[in-house]
Amino acid sequence: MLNLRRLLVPIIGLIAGLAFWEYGVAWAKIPDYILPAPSQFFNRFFETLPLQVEHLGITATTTLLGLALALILGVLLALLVVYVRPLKLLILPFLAAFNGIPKVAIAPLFVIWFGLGDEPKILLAFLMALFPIFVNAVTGLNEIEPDMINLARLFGGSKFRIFRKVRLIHALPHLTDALKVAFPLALVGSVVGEFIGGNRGVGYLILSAQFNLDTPLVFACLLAITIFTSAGIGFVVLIEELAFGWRPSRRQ
Amino acid sequence: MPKSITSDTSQDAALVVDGLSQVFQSVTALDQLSFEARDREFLTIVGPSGCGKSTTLRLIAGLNTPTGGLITVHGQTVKGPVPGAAMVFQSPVLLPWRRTMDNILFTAEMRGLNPDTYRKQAQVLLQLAGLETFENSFPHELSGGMQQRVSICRALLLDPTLLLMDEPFGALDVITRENLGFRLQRIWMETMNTVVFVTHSITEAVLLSDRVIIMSPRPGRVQATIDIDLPRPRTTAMLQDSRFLELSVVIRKEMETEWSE
Repeated sequence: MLNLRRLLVPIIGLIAGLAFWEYGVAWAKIPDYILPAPSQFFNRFFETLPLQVEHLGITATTTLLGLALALILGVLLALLVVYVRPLKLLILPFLAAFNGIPKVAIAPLFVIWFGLGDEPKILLAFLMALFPIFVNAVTGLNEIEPDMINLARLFGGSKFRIFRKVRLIHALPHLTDALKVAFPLALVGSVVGEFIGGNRGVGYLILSAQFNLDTPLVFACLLAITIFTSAGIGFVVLIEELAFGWRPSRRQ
Repeated sequence: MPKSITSDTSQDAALVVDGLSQVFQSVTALDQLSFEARDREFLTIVGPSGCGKSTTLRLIAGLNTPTGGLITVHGQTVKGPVPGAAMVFQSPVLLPWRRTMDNILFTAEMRGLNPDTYRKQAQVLLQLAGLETFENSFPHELSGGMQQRVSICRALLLDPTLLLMDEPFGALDVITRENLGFRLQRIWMETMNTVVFVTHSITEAVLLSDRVIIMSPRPGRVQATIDIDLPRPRTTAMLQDSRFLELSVVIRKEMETEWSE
C-alpha cells in the first residue's frame, strides 16, 4: 500500500506537470524553438532514437570510465590519507585547493594537451567525480566508533584484518552515497568536454541542434541524459537496498 | 592517604597495578594508582565521574600507554593489547552489518582463528545470556540490553583470563540493569574469569563483587577497599538484607567523604 503510494504520487505529479506544460505552451502561443511542448520533443526523441542511442553510448562510456577512475584513485588516496599520517598533511591542503578550481575551466587545457578524442572527456569526468568520492571514502574509513577499533585491537586484530573486516565494510555505504553525487558530476564533465571539442556524444548533439535552432532536439537530448542518470542512480540505490539494509538511514 | 578497611592479600594476583600515572597534556588523570586483583576475583571500581576509572581499564587492557607505573597481567608486563583480556564498553559497539552470531565470532576472526570452530561455544554463551532465539538478528533488531548481552558473549567467546567491563550497564534502566547483573553473575560463576568492573552504582557494586575499590576524584587514587562477604549466588532478596545495606552505606560514606574534601 505504502509502496504503491510512493510510486503513484510522483507519477501523478509528473503527468500533471507535463499536461500543464503541453497546454500552457499552446495557450500562451510560445514558439517551439523557444520552448517545445512535451509531445514535440517526445516525438523528436523517438524520431532520432538511433542517433540518441549512438551519441548517448559514447557519452555514457566516457562518463563511466571517468567515474571508475575516480573511484579507484579516490579510494586509494583516501587509504593513503587514513593510513599514512605524513601524507595526510601533504595531500589534504593540495586537494582542498585543487577542489577550489572550477574543473570545467581547465577543460580547454585538456583539449590542447589531449586533442579532440575521448581522453579529455574521461579526464574531465574523472576530475569532477574525484572529490566527493575521496571525501566520502575518508569519512567511511575513519568515522568508526573508536571503541570498535579498540576492541578489534584488543582481540588481536592486525591493521590489515581490521581494515578488511571493519573499516572497509563500514566505508562501502559511504561510497555508494558518494557515487550518487559523483555520477551526475562525471556526466557534467563528459558533456562539457563534448561541448568544447569533438564530433560525437550527447554534448555534441545538443550543440549541433542549437546551431540549427532545433530546440525539440535539444530537449530530446536532455530526456536521453535524464534517462541515463536515472538508470545509473537507480542501479546504485538498488545495490544499497540489497546490501546495506543494516544502515540506520535505511531502517523504518 | 589510601586506607585499607580490609586485609589485602596479594597471593596469586591475576592483575597488579603498581604506581600507575597518566597525564593528558597538563591534566593528571591518575596519580600513583596501585591495586591488585586476585585470580578469579570479581573486583569492582567505583568513583565519581572523571576520576580515571575508564582510563585505568584502557591502560590495563594495553590499549593506551601510561605516563608512569607498571601493570602486570598474570606475571606479564603490559606493553600492548593484552592477549588474554577482553573488554565490554558502556556502549555495545556491535558491527551493524553482522548478525548476533557473527558479531560474537568476530573475536575469533580478529585472532585469526577459524570462526566455525567456535560456533558451539557461542551457542552455549547465547544460551547463558538468554539470547538463543536471536542468533540471526541484526543489532538494530535488538533492544539496548540485548545488544549489551551480545557484546558480553563476544567478550567471553575465547574464555578470557581477564574481563574488563567499563560501566557495561550504565546506559540501561534500573530493572534491566539488575537483570543483567544477575545474568552476569551466573555467567561469571560458570566461567570464573577474573573480572574488573567499573560502575557508578553502589547497589551494582555490592551485588556483583568480591571486593570494591573506591577511587578518589581526579587525580585518581585508591581511597578505600572493601570486601563484600555476602554469600553467592546473590539474589534479589539480598537487596533488603541487613549486611547488604550495611556494606552499601559504608561505600556511600566513603564516596561522600571524598566529595566533601
